[in-house]
Amino acid sequence: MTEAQLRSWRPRRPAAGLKQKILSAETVTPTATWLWGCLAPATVCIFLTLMAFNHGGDGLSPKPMMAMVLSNQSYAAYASGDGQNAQNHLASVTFDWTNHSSFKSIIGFTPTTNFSN
Amino acid sequence: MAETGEIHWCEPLYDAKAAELILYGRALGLGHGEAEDVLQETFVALAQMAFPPAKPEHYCVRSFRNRALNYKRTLWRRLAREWEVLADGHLLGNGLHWFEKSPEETREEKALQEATVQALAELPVEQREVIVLKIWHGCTFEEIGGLLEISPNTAAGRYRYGLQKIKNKLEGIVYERTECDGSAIAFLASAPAGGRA
Repeated sequence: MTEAQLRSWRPRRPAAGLKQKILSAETVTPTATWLWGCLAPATVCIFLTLMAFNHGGDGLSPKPMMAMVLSNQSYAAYASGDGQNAQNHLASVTFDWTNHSSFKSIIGFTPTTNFSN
Repeated sequence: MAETGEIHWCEPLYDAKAAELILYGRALGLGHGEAEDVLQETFVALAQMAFPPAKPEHYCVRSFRNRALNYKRTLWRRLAREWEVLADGHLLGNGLHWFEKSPEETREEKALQEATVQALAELPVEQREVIVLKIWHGCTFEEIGGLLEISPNTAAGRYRYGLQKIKNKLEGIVYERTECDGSAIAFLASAPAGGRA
């Protein structure tokens, strides 16, 4: 098998209509197709955003959670649903490690009150 | 362009290069339909240029390659290609139909072509594209090196190793056939060890 023999094989041609498709005026100016391809997803996104943020519509109903969180970042900690959970409790998070048995000091940092005396 | 009746400068270029670019697309790992899509993108972009670039043939090969690589990266197209590869396992003749069928070719020539395309398809893409550019696009190793951003020696090495692998593969096939029915195929005896720069 020689290089010349390989070269003698003619590569498969593209479909017959492709040339006309490429060289026709409709394909050369694909502005409408491009515009539609960009605008359609953007329209859907805007529509979904409006749906999400205008739930209810009378202005008196409670705001959706996402809208509330986005409007006030300090609400983000409460977005998980169970309000002031263990992670938000200062004493248990900060001083919990001092109460473990590996801590050698006899003095505990968690405030304890003895009401017996 | 078409409505004025004038021939656009890229029309003769399309006639000269379309089939070779489709083959190059196959060498880059695209299916035939995907290669046609990339060809269309490339020539639509070229058709919007009022004047031809300095080296139109090289420009369109480079443009086709860049678009083909971008095309391959898209997730959905990658999945579709994997599906096509799976389908090719059942429809091998259609999937590896890289060359035109000649009506006067003999059964042995047809078998050789199919085996060669199979061996070509199994090469790494780096070797495959160098072989296609060298043989069917008529590029020199200098030009291939410039296109792929490698040295001409690297391009020549990929070409040589790729052809050697095809030769080894075909010799294996011929050996199997000789074992089966005792008919040796003489054309493989003259397979070259390498190419010229």
